[in-house]
Amino acid sequence: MLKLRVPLPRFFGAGEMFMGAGSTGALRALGAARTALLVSPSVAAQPDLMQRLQRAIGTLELHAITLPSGEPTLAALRPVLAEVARVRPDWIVAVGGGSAIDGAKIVWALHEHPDLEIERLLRPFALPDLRGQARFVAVPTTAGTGSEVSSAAVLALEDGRKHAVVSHTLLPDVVVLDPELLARVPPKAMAAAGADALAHALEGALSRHANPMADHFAESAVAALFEHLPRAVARPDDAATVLEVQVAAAMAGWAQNLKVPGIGHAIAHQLGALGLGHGQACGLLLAPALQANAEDAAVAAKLTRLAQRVGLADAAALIARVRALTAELGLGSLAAALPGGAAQWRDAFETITAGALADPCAAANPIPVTPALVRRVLQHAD
Amino acid sequence: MPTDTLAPPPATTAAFDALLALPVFGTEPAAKRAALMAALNEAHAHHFAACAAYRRLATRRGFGPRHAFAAPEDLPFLPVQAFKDNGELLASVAPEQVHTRLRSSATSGVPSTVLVDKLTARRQVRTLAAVMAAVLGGTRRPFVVVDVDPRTAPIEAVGARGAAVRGFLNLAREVRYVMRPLEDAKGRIELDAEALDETLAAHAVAHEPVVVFGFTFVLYAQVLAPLAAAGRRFALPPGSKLVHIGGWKKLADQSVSREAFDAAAAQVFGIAPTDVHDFYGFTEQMGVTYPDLAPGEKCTPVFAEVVVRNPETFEPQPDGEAGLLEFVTPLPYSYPGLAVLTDDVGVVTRRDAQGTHFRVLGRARQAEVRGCGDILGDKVATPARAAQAAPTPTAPVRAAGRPKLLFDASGHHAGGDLMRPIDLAALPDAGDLGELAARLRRERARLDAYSVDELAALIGAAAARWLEPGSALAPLRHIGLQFLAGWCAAPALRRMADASLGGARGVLDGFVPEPGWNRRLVKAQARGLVVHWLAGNVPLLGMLGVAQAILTRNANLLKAPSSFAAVLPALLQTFRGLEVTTHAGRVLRGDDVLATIAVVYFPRDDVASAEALSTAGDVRLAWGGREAIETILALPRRYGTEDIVFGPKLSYMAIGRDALANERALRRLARQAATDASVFDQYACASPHTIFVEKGGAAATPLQFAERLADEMARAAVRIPKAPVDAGTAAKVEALRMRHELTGELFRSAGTTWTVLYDEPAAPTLAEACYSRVITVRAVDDIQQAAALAHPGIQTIGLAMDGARKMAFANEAAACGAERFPDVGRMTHFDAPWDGLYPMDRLVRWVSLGGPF
Repeated sequence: MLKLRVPLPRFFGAGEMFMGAGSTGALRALGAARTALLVSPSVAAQPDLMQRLQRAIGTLELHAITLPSGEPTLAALRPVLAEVARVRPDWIVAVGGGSAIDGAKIVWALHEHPDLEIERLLRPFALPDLRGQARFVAVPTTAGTGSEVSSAAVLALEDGRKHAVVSHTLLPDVVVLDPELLARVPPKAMAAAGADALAHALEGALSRHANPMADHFAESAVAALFEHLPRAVARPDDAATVLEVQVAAAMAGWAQNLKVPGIGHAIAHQLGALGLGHGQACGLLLAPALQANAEDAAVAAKLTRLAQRVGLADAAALIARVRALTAELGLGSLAAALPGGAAQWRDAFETITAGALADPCAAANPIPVTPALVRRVLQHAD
Repeated sequence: MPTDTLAPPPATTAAFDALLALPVFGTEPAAKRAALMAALNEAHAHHFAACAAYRRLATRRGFGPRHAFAAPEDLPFLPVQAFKDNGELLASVAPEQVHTRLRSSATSGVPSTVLVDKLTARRQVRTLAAVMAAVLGGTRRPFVVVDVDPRTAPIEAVGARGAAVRGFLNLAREVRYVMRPLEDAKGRIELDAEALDETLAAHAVAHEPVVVFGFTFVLYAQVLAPLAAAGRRFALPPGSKLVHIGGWKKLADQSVSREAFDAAAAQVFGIAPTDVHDFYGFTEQMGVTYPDLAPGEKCTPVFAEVVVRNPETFEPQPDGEAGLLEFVTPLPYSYPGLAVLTDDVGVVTRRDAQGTHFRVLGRARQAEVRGCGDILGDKVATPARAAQAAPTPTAPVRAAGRPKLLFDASGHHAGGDLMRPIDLAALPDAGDLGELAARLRRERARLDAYSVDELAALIGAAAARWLEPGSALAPLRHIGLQFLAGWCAAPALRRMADASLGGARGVLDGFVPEPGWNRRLVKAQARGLVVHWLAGNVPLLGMLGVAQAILTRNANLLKAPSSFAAVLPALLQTFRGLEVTTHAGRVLRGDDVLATIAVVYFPRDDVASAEALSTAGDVRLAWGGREAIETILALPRRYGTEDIVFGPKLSYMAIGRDALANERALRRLARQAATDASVFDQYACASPHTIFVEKGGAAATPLQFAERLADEMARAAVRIPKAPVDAGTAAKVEALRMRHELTGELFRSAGTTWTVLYDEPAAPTLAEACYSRVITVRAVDDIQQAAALAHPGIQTIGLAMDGARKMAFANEAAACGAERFPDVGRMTHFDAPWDGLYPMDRLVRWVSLGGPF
């Protein structure tokens, strides 16, 4: 990638993307010597899926390694790293949801730089170049996190905080969007991931960072998710529909990666500590975030333009459509979703606000993020 | 050449004549000072009037024709190199009055030219005779001259020695020459054994003491050494003496000490050391000679004085402190050699009625074209080093060698001050190098347990130790330790490995798909054992070769240089006990790396050890000057052995007019150029010595650029402190400065910290590399002219010009032999390729699996 001194809108993504039912077969062409197949526990628990993956990958040696469940920590990744160090792979194939792919990315980075200081790992864009040892394949088994086209990987620190490792060198070389791998995804997980994708698209579209091409991706993603997400949740074995959602999620992922979402994501990142899943939180906060931002006339105008592109009248109609969709997906309300109810976020409001204001997503929000704005978004979500 | 016309010489030489009337070694100091200064002032007036070059030199220092100097050290001095470069300019008589052109023996490089007229020649004879009579007694004695007869021998066989010999023979009652010219017309001479036998036999019969006289080197190499080896003895009459002149340069090169010389004289001629007289003198002040009046101490005669100067500031040193020796005498009339700064190092020991007593400690080391990155090395010439430079005589050893062990996994034997020579003889024996190599090969398997990234992590962790506060390596910081640590940081090593190995260092860890091929894998396999010849002038860079060899999983056997021998062991010592825990929880152990490395030393004449080392390696990696490299390459080696050579290279800089478009660009460029010329004190092979500046820049002419560069060199001296300068380099710097005072423009620091020379040659050429932050700015009409000056000895050309011109320049210069074209300001940043190659690529064998398709 070109190194620019001033930021300019540009597009970049994963090296190659294969999509469609059975597209996992593309991995036959890897021609690898030693492949580390890093899979999420849920994938590892499906012997037929594992066999299918092992058959699909063209490699002289294949070593399947199970990633830890949940968002990765360094301690949890250590046994994976040790195994990868033993294998010395020239290809790493990550199969799983967003956390699994993020974990595999961090394994990749720390395998190539086994002595990397944590401070440098966490410093944005400070990661040394990768691919001296191995290249990376992402095969997502959920549709929505956008990890497969993201320059970031979320790492859970030992103290419970989450931190994004950010570097464009983390973008996968190969992505496979095979809907057949999502046939057994539970509805709730499909819904949460889809809501996350919708938030990537809509919040990304409103971002203060300009990127006309990403805006088009966002619009397409919003339209596709409005149309296909409910059916995909209901019928994950409908490969054609799931593929639509996968592609939409990837486009929304580009919008997120190129433009950065806003206050909804900034708050959602804080609610994780309260026990609320990222996708569900993003879904629940999306309409309130749009509504709060749309109090600004310029944002409202921008949102109206986007609404009209997807066949809706204006910003208000778009926000209403989002509320309806999240209700249809069964995401519930913030008060209902939090284990401690609404009182939980109110008690933790100062902590949530401080975290949200410091979150990188806050800086991309189209209007300044203030404690009052955070409170309004949370109140709208109740 | 200056066009000033020569003024007629003044008629008076009265003060000089008065000086010669005084006792040679017995004049009261105040009387000597008065008479000497009177003669020097008289001589100054003469040369000021008669020699344009001297007049320019004196005027620049604020001295007029009638200036009355109060002390010898006040006179403007000429470095001895001035006679090598500008001998013909240094004339104080008309050309037709030049009687003889003395040329030095050029044992250490370019010969000096000294123009002698009849008056000067007469003075030389008188002063020589006066000193000889004072030392040997006034009695005229038979002389046995160990040289050819200058009256009959071809001129090329006599050389400059002839004049000196003639001067000394004034005390001779009878002269017999015992050398004869070889008939190959190459000026070589040999001992006429029959003449020697006959002559000495005749004198033995006559019972009259004789004086055996000759040049130190000729005497030893042609007579004393071979006759001693042959067991010959001559019984000379009691009271016979041996007198030698000409200095120890050549013998020191051959490690022959004064004690060995005296021992041989006693063995062959039966002459006691007290009757062996070594007269110090030099061509540029022929006629003035300094005898030993006490053992090892020379003494100035009444018509000369010695001044010891600080090699950095050129200020006179207090008595007892070593420095460059300057000699002051009013003797030369036909050339302005009144005050000549030599490149000998010495010290004044005492002053009394005999004169000023001084010791010559050795010859200051001269700068020469270096291997990559000469970072001080032998530049720090200390008296301790000079003393060590003359060990007992050794003959080339072909029998079993006795290599010494400086470092291996079992111990670190080369401790002590890193900047000082170590007692190599006291090191433990390394044993059989073949066995040592076999052990290292076996231990090499330890490296297979590590990935290349883990090895990089270990090296990077060791490099971090190098810079820890309080590290024993702290003295190395001013010779580039920080650069080395930066290059050895793990991310930098990984980047280098990627660049060197087709883009992905994973090939070192196993077979990987070859880009662009389907179903074909390649792997980079360690070659086995890398043997290194380190060079004292690159004490740190050798580590970079070791690091790359470790990364490629090779074992390493290193031959340390005699100087800075302790540096590599000290760097490697930081691996001992080092443990790095990776994020995978693996513990990487520095001791595993150390088990695959050993450092040995053997002298250069230990051919057996050199051959054993050479044949032990799968790769031979050599740093050094041309002679050293050629010697190494000529050693026997195993079939298939790879050679990696970092030989002597030079670099320069080219600045196009477009890069001088405005004031901001000028300021930036001057600062960057100053950085390039200051880093490593210009001893890196990538350091520029010449900057070609294209005429026509909007913001500055080439001369104005030189002025700005001078400003920035002064700032760089603060930013990048300079290491101490050895006396020889200081003398050379001063000589170059003087040349430019005569012929060009000059900007300089007060001492020898930095120098910017400027000239506009008719046709562009590369300036002589002086090192020590001496940079020559040369104006050119078209910058492309400078591209054609590249040749295979040029490594780096720093470029500042616009895109298309830069590309055209690089294409032409690359075709001529140059290898790197970084931007100005980044010339000394290490990268790969270096010296035209990727070393890691040469440290592996490439293996394929599958294919071809």
